[in-house]
Amino acid sequence: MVARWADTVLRIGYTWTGSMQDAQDVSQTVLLKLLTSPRRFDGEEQERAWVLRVAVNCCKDLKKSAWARRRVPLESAGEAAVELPEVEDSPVLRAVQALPEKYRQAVYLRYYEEYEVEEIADLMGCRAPQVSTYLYRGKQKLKIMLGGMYGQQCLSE
Amino acid sequence: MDNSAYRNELDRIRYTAEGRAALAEQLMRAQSAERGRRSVRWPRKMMAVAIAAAVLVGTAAAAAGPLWERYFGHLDEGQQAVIDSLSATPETLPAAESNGTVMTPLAAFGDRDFYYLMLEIRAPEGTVLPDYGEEKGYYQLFGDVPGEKISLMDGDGQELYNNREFAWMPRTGEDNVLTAVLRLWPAEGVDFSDGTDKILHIPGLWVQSPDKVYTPVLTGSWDFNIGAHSGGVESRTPDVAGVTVESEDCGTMTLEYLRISPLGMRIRYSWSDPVEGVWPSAELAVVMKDGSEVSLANSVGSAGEDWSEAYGPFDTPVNIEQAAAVRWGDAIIPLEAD
Repeated sequence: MVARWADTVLRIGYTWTGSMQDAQDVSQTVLLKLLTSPRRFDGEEQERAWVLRVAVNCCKDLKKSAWARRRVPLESAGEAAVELPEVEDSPVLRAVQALPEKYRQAVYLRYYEEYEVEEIADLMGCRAPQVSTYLYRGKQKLKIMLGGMYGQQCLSE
Repeated sequence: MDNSAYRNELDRIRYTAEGRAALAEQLMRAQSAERGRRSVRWPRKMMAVAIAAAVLVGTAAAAAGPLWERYFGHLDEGQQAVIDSLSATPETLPAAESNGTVMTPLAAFGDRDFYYLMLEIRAPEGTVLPDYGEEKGYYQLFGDVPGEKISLMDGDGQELYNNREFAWMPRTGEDNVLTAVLRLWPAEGVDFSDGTDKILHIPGLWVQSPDKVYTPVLTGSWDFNIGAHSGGVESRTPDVAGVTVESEDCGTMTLEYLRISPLGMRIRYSWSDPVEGVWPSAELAVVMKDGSEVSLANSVGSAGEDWSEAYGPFDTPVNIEQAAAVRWGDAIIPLEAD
């Protein structure tokens, strides 16, 4: 289970929070939840959808200080716990991470997870037209940051 | 370069072998610790039930805050005071029984724009309401046909349009009991705190399968008059004349209306240069006197070609006496003290 989902949740956590430390916290919380509340899924796609939803909610909870975290404090696995590509080797990733929060989340869900706009709206807790706006503006900003055809092609439909 | 560039770069974020091993070990230790906590869960739930009983017999005001921490998480003294000042009294919200199932309001509070109801659903003794994992479905307080919907009506039987959402609380350990928190937000023109009758109707309990098939579990009719109390803290409608924010695509956004209460906010704004398919917005938050900000937990609204109206609740109640301003994008709207 760790092998199957640890990296996925790490990427969601990093995209949402912008912090690798917070991403690791999210990863631990979600995987612990999966371990301690076992579920049966009809397939990997359904399991992935569950993991994604729980991870997104966990990122929201991390941001909202009101909700107490229901997890055992875990010791850090040390500095060698995760790999992150070098800045110069990941221009698109850096540009997406520089987007405003809502644009970044919408871009991740559309172009990495390949969700439809309505599904993204449900996950983000907003209306579908807002998602369309986030995607439109996100791509506009990426065009500017990445420049010309590169910016347009990197997220082509 | 094609659209896999983003995917390829993001895929390079991963745990190292050492990181995975350490993570797996820590999860195993945490899982053992979680099992240990579960063995003492029942006494804590009994304490929660005892607190709820204290609410019902009228020592409520001081206990309402801790009870709501089960839903909101930690509440400071100011937030608890807000809830206490807005709480309904037990006499105004008696339990309702139908077909052997008793629904009991454990606590309730609201202001003009938002209303929270913590509701215990107790099926007849011997009924087992199993835990459903998300792969099997969800409990819902409504079915999928007319007549099986939650409704809110005035004293004349007219439906009052409102948004509603609810969350299930952790189980108490009793197989025939569920606890839900309903959050209601009315459309403009409906005031939860005006003291007039507002009958909340719950049609029962269903299970919704992942492919949206509804199966009834408990059916009947449970009604609660949630209008029979008045909110303690007035909403504020600060002067927003001249408040504008520049949008990226649609020109200048002009704020036309803002209302803030301890439980949420409502705004209406317009923009100068409409673009088809684009609805501009600006981040909305309350700026507290200590510099922290509180955002809306969710929002709904309506929009036209060049205007939008949105409203929604805060994540947790806000001690509005400690609110300094509202931030809309980079515009600051001071909140004058009453």
